[in-house]
Amino acid sequence: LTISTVRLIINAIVDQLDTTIAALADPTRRRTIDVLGRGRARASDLALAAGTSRAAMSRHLRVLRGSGLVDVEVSTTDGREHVYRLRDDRLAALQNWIDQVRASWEDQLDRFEAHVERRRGDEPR
Amino acid sequence: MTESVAVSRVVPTDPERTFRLFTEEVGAWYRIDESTVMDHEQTVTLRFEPRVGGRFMDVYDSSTGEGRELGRIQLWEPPHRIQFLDAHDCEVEVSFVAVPHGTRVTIEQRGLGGLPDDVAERVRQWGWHIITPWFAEYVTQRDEET
Repeated sequence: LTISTVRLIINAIVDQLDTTIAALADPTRRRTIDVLGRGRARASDLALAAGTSRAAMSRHLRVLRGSGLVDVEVSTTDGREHVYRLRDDRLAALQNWIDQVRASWEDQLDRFEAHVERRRGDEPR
Repeated sequence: MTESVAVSRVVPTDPERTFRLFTEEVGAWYRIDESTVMDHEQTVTLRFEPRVGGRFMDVYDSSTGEGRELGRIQLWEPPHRIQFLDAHDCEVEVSFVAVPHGTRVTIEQRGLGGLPDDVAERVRQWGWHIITPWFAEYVTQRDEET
């Protein structure tokens, strides 16, 4: 009846990993994530921080956006400048885990319900 | 932010019988796999020790009924409810309420937001830039395996 929460956390993390593994397999992109963790930044600043060209950073950012790790918005001060930020996923991992706990209990109750049905004829109410 | 989870079903039996089926026959219906017990390959069945202070057991040895403790029973009130504290300090309450033609069974697990404490807290406070090292570690492990 208990849930192995450690297992669930690991499962949640691995699920998330499967969708982002390609994005984070690259050291430049990991560095970019670290920089964005301290606040939003322009592509040019990210290129500078990572020591790479703007063209290369543009490709990296495309991968990071595709992974769902990073969002982009158009700067209000300069309509042409894209500003990048980490997606607001601070609670997503935890929520993912809670969703798994819920799904697991729903499944257990489905099974209990089926068990009650199976045993229904065995004993008078 | 949901920090507890409650799910319920209505089954077509009275609370007394529903309570007995739920507790005495838990080994017959409870799903046993890697996500529900610690070591499902060792599990032969599950059982409740039917009293406050009793254990909810993942049974590895059917002759002794011993194995691994999954939870410690805090409330044992047949046929109304049971509650136990799992290994990660989550309270799990199961209630049995009579409704027309049956019993509503509700399972509520509380304290999810604090679990596991260190991980949940880091996720809550820091988000991705703290999680990133986990990814990096995982990537490194994968790279080493290939």
